[in-house]
Formats: sequence, structure tokens, C-alpha cells
Amino acid sequence: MGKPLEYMINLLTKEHQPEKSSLQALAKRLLIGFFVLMLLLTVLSRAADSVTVAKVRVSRMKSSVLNYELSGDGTIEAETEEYIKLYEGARIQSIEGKPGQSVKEGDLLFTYDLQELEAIAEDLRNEYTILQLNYKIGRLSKETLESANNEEAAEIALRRAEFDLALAKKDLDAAKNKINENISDRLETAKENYTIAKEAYETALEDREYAINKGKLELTKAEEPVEKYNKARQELEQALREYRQAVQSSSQKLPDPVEEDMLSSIDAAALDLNIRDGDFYKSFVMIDDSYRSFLNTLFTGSVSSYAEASSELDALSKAKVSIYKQYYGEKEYEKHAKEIQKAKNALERAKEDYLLTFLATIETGAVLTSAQKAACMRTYQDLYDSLNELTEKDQKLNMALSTYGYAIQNKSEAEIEASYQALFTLLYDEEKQKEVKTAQELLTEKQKDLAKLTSDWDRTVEKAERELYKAREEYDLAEEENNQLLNKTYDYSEETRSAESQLEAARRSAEDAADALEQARANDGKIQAANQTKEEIDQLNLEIRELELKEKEEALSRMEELIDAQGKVFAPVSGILLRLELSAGGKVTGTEKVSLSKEDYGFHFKVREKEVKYLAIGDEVIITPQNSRKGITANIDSIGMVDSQGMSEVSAALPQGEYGEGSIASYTIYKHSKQYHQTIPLQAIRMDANQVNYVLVVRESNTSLGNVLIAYRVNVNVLEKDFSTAAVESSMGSRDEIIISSNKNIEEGDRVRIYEE
Amino acid sequence: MKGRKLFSFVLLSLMVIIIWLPIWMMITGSFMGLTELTERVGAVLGYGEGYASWSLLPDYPTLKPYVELLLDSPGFFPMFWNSCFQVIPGVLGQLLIALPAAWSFARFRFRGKHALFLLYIVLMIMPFQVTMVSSYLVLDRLRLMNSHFALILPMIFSTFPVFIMEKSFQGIPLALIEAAKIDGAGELKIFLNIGIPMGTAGIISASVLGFLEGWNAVEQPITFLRDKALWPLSLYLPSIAIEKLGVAMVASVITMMPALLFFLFGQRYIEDGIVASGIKE
Repeated sequence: MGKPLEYMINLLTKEHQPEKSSLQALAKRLLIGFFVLMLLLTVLSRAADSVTVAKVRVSRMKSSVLNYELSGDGTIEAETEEYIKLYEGARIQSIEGKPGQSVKEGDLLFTYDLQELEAIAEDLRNEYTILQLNYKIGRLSKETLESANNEEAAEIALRRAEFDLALAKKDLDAAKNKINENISDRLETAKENYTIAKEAYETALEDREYAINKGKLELTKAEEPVEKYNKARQELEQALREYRQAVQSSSQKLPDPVEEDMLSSIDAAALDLNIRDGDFYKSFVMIDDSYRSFLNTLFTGSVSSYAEASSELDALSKAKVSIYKQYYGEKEYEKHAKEIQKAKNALERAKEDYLLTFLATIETGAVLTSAQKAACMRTYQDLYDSLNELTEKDQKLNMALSTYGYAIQNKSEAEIEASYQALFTLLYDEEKQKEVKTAQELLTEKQKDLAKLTSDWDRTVEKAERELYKAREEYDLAEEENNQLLNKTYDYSEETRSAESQLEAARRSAEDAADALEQARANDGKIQAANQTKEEIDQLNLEIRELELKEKEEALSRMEELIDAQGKVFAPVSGILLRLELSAGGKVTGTEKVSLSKEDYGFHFKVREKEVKYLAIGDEVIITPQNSRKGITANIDSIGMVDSQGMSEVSAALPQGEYGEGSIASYTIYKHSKQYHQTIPLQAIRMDANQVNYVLVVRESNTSLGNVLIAYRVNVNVLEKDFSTAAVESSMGSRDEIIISSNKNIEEGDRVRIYEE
Repeated sequence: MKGRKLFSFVLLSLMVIIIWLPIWMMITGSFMGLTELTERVGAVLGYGEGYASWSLLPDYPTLKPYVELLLDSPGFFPMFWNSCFQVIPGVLGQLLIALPAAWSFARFRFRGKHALFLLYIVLMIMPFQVTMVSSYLVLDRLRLMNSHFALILPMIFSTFPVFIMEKSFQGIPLALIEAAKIDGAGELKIFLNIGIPMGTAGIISASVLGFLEGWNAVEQPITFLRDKALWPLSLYLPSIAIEKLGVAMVASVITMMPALLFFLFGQRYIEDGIVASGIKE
């Protein structure tokens, strides 16, 4: 196993040997051989092609008519026959004529047996008598059907129904009138209610507005003091802020305020009345100086008027003035300042009085008595007390301001805040706060009152508004109903249901009565018509009997004539005895016929169904009888229907002449159609599997063989055709060459060659 | 070593099979009847459903397609001869024009040589579609449209043979030429007696490639030839319908034959030419 495998591998993997030149030479030889072969095959294929290419004959389309020629054979027949009546049951005694024999009028044809004839005549007589009697019977018996008199009763019923209808209409009208009145009343009432509701609503609106305005006014009044207090508080806070700023920006160092009891200091410096005047004077002046310094600290002592203060003071002082004004009120502050000034002046005068007294004593060299000293001191002290009393509040305020100012400059923020609160509490005391609170409470109360008032009045107005809308709706509804009444579009059906139903019932009754009347009339009419019809039938029967009678009479008369003629039957007209289906000695059964032909003939022939369409009544037919060479021209006078065998019988009347009845003749008919623009030979038309007609047209085509003739298909619509040509509709041109025949089967796309014979 | 060779052989065989498979299908298809072809590939051409299939050998081989083409299709042969009339003069003309041009590029020095050669290369690589309109206008002006010369003349003046032959002429040793010059040979003699014989590989390979190019050309005939009587064989094949599939297969085989034989004839020269172009002196 290993060795073959190894061999295969060696074979496949051995070194490539240089190719010998045999491949090149082989390729060269093959190439040359190939071209030679191709040359040979070129010739062969051309030769084969020349054999296989179909040769065709062509024709061009042209404008022409279609010619139809019909020919064939037919028979000449007599057109009219005169039949001779035969008596059934009669025996034929002898026959003198022969079928096909030409006879003249009056020639003897055959003879009946007389006895048989007489028997038949007797039967005829009896029949005649019976008919006569029946006729009499018919004349006598005439009866009518039932009489017609239902109309009257129906008319009465109708009149009653119409009366009921009129009554029902009246009731309905009355009901409608009542409704109209109600609607008018409702409209008036609704209008009134609406007006009242509208007034109430407008009144409510006005009252509401008035009450609310009043409430608002009271509220505004209550708001004023609150605003005033708030404004005052804000001004106070602003004054305090300004004071703080003034302190912070002032270069003046404020001392730590200490509360002094000046009155005690004055008491403590109670004058020793017994001391010398000079010492007393010194003590007095010392007290006065202390007091002055105190007054200066009060500051108000140096304020004479606001205007004076504002023009002379620094920022700190202005801030203080502002605070004082906030504390007292501006006018009060001015008044207070004047009182203080007055008290100070009085105190000054008391001091001056003492000094004057003291000076007077010095001039006189006298001494003040103790009483005088005491009196001066008392006067001064009283004035001082009153001034102190007057400045009690100022003292407190001043202390608080000083404390605050000192705190601002020296103390912590908490202490500043504490001193600020103390100052603010002094300025905005409880009483004032109470007043503010009261004013605010009053304001809140007024606000509540106003809200309640507004709410109450809103409810009132809403209620009035609802009433108004309701009244408006009712009014609109009433108005609409009224308008419907005026426009005559109001629907009374709901309210007048019962009256209308009664009216409807009455109407139906009236209609039924009318129908019944019609029916009664119709029935009466029918009855009359039936009676009339019966009369007519009777009359007709009578007439039939009369005719039968007459006929029988005639037959009897003929029979009697025949009997008188000894049973001989003669030819009534001249002509050919066509039929004589009798036998001598035989009885007439009723199926035999004896007839003579009048001297007019017709030519009858049959044509196929597809040929019938070419024929029309009046067309000329050339008829050539069998034994004649000369043709007879006749015209078609009738064309029969196509029978089950697809044939149609055609006849043409022959001119007067002698013809052999039943003889055969040939015919020829020539017909032309109208002019057609496109006619082609019939053999050019082909049909495919889909029953579509087409032709093959030869056209030049550019192929690898150059310009060759190829057959192309062109569909055509065949309008009409005769036996050799077809009239078509197509897209062909007059120069197109249509293949009409070929030497082999060809199809579209095949190469062809045209050849002429 | 043997293993490597075996592997190389197997790999190359596989590639060859892949390349040869369509050709084998074409050859076997040319021996199949219409029924068998319809069964196998009818689905692809709209006849029936399913997939196309093929077999190595036909189930019912027949020569009917060959007979139909070679004997019953006279239109095939004019197209074949048209191909011959258009390609062979073209190839010969190429030799006439391209040979001296290639020799000049290979052996002479002149101003603008590189630029001119570059132009040749540019023209060589330009596809037909680019020059189609200008070629059409020129041929129309020269009144050569719808004639064989519409294909022959552009082919004669093709630049590709110049490129191939120039490479081949460059391979001729300079010493040989100088020796000839010393012996008194003129330029024409050198060209005819040394250049052409020594450059045979390049000449024949250029001819073969030129023939293949011309034989298989489709765009130029369709563009420049209106009359079907002038169409070459390459235009016979585009119309393939199921009814003519067998004939188309045969036509493909016949069309392939001259090209194949010509290639086999010049194969050795083409290989030598490719080898020569790779070797540097």
C-alpha cells in the first residue's frame, strides 16, 4: 500500500520538465485546422440555409369589393293550388282525370257513387235540421247573473263615516285652541316673573354694592389709626437708628450716665439758715450751679423751640430732638419745651430775687434774717420741685438715651440691644401698645365683617341670579312655543293625542267606507260586465249556430247540386291536375287530396347557413332549367329560416311560362359587397391557438447575414370575406407584402425568400 | 521537501479546478439537449421553481446543439469572420506601428521620451468608457462609423503592445548592438536583424494579448457598429434564452477555441516575456 502511494506522490511532485515544442506546433496545426473547418462549415451552413429557407409568394393589400357567387340546383314548383273538396264517406264511381294532366275549366275529373251521395245528403239534411233547432233554442234561452245594488248601502256608510270624521276634526281644533290659549297665558306669566326676577336681581346688586362700599369705608377708617401707629413706630425706629448712627459717628465721648437725685442733693445741701449770708450765698449759688448742670444734662432746658434747635444742633442733638418729638409728639414737645423754659425762668427769677435781696443787704449793711433766707430757699425749692416734676419724664428718657449712647460706644452688642429695648419700651410704652393692639383688633374685626358681608351679599345675588335665569328659561320656552304657534309649526301631538287618535280612527273609517263604496261599485260593475259578457257570449253562440246553419245549408245545396249532376265532379279552373289521390270504387276517407295548380310557378332552392347572409329579398337569380340553355332571370321573394340541418329555403317567383312542375333547374346568384380599403387574399389569413386572425408580412431586417427578409406577424380583424378575398382591418400599409403561400410551414421570425412563378 | 511539493500541488490543483469548473460546465453543457438543460438550469431562467444544478457529465449527451449552430445557424459564421476581419488586421497593424515605437523607446534617447512614454502608459490604463465619446466623435468625423475600420484603426494604434515590446527590447544586450554597429550595421539593419529576432518573445506575447483583447471586445463593437452584419462573434452571446441555451454553450466553446489555440501557440513566448521583464541586467 505504501509503494503505490509513494509512486503517486512522486508522480505528482516530480520536477516540471520543459515543455517540448510539440504543444506549440500542435496548437498551430489546430488553429489552422480550426479556421479551415470554420470555412468549410460556413459554406455548408449557407448551402443548408438556402435549402431550408422557405420560399413564399406575396401579395399586397388593395382596395376592392367582395364578390359572392352562389350556385346550385333547385326545383320548379307551382305556387298556388286549387283544392277540390271531397266528401268523406262517399264512394268514387269512376276517375276520369290523371295527375299532371292539363285540364280546362269544366272538364270531368271523377264521379261519385250516387247512392252514397244521397245518403250523405240525407245526413246533411238531418244535421241542418238539428242546427236549426239549436239555433232556436239559443235564441230563446238568455239568463242574467245576480243584480248589482250594493253601491247604495256603501254610500250610506260612507256618509256616516264622513260625518264622524268632521266631528273628530272639530274636537281636535277645539283642543288646539285650548292649547293656544294656555301657551299665551304661560307666556304672559313667564314674562311677568322674568321682569320681577330681573328687578330683584338688579336691586340685590345695588344693595350689595352699597353694603360692600359701606363696609369698605369702615374698614378704611379702622385702617387709618393702625397705619398711623405703624407709621409712628417706624418713625421712632428710624429716629433711634439715626441716633445710633449719630453716636457712632460723633467724636464726643458720652459719659457713663449716673442717676442723680438732685432733689436729695439739694436737701442734702440744706442750708444752714444760721450761717452767714456770704456762706449762705455760696451754698445757694452752688446748689443753683448743680441744678443748672443737671438741667443742662436734661438738655430740654436749653431747647427753646424746635426751629432754634434744628438750626444750631449737631447730628447727635438732632437725633435726640427727633426722639423727643417722637416721644411727646411734635406740638406737645414744643409746648413742653416752653413750659420747661418758663419754669426755668421762674427758677432763675427766684435766684435773682435772692441775689437782689442779698445785694440790697450788702449795700445797706443789713443781714438777711433766717426767715428771709428760708423764704428764698422755699421759693427756690418750690420752683425747683415743679420744674423737676415737669422734667420727670425727660429725666427718664435722657437716662435711657445716655445709657444707650454709652452702650453703643463702649459696650457689647447684647448690651446695646438690651439698652435699646429699654429705651424703646420707654418710648413705646404699654399704653401706646395697647392702643395699637386695640386699633389692629378693630381693623381685623372690620375686615372679617366686610368679608362676611361680601359673602352674604354674594349669596343673595347668586340666588337672585338663579331666580332670574330660571325665569328667563321659562320665558324663552314660553316665547318659543308662542313663536311656533305663530309660525304654525307647533307640535300638538303630545297634547292632542286622544283627539288625534279619534280623528285618525274616524279618517280610517271614512277611508274604509270609501273603499267599500269603490268595491261595491266595482262589484256591481263586474256583475254588470259579467251579465253583458254572458249576453255577448249568448249572442256569439247564436251567430256560430247561424253560421253553422248557413254552412250546412251550403253544403246541402252543393250536395244537391252534385246529386243533380249525377255525382260528376268537374275542374273548377284551368290548370294542371296536380293531385288526384283517389281510386275508383274506393271510399273517401278524408286523407285524399285532389288539387289543381294555377298557372304561376316558383323556383325553390336551399342554401347553407353561411351563404344565407349574402342573400336578400329582391336579389336576382339566374335560373337555367334542365333542358334549356337559356337562363331565366327571377328575383328572390322569400328566404326561409335555417332548419335543423343548417339549410335555408329560398324561393323566387318565375315569370309566366310553361314549366315542368317539379322539374330541376340550376341557379346562379352574383353579389357584390361595398368597397373595402383593405382586402387581402383569403389564403393569407392565419389563426393562432387563441382564435386570433393574423397574417405574415415580409419585412427586411438587419441581421448578421445582412439585410434579410423575415416573416413578421400582423394581427388582423376580418370584417367580411367571400370565397377568395377577405376584407380586414389592420395596421398594415399598402406596401407591405403579405405572404399568401409558402413551400413549407413558416412562423413568425423565419427567414423567407420571395419568388415569383 | 516532498511534503511541501505535495501540498503545493494539491493547493494549485484546487485553484485550477475552481478556475476550470465554469469552462467544464460550458463544454459539458454544449453536449446537453434542451430538455436536460431546462431541467438543470431552467429555474434560473424563469422556467420552473427550485435551484439550478449541474453534473460532471451530461446524462444524455447529444451533438444536436452543434448541428444546430454549425449547420442551422448561418448567422453565426458572418459574425465569426467579422471577428477575424477585425482582429487579425488589427494585430498585424499593431505589429507594424508598435514595433518601431517600442524599439525607439527601448534604444534611443530623445527629448521628451519619458513624458511621451508616460503618456503612453496613461493612455494604456485609461478604460474604454473614458475615451468612448471622443473616439465616437473622431470616427464619425472621419466617416468610419459603422465599418470594420472603426474597430481596426483604434486597435492598430493601441499603446499596450508598445509597452510589452519595449520591455522585451530593453532585455537585448547592448554589447550585441554595439558589436553590430562596429560591423557597420545601420539602425534599420540592427532593428530588423537583431531587434526583431531577439525580441520575438515580446512581439508574440504582445500579439497574443492583442488578439485576445480584440477577440473578446464587446463595448467597441456595440458602440461603433450599427449594422448587425458587421458585428463580431463576441456579440453573438449576449442574448441567451432557455430555448437557445444549448446553442449558446456551443457558441461559447467555438468562440473560445481560437483564443485558446492562439494562446497555447504563444504561451511559451508570453512566459518568457514575463520572466524577462522581471530580470534586471
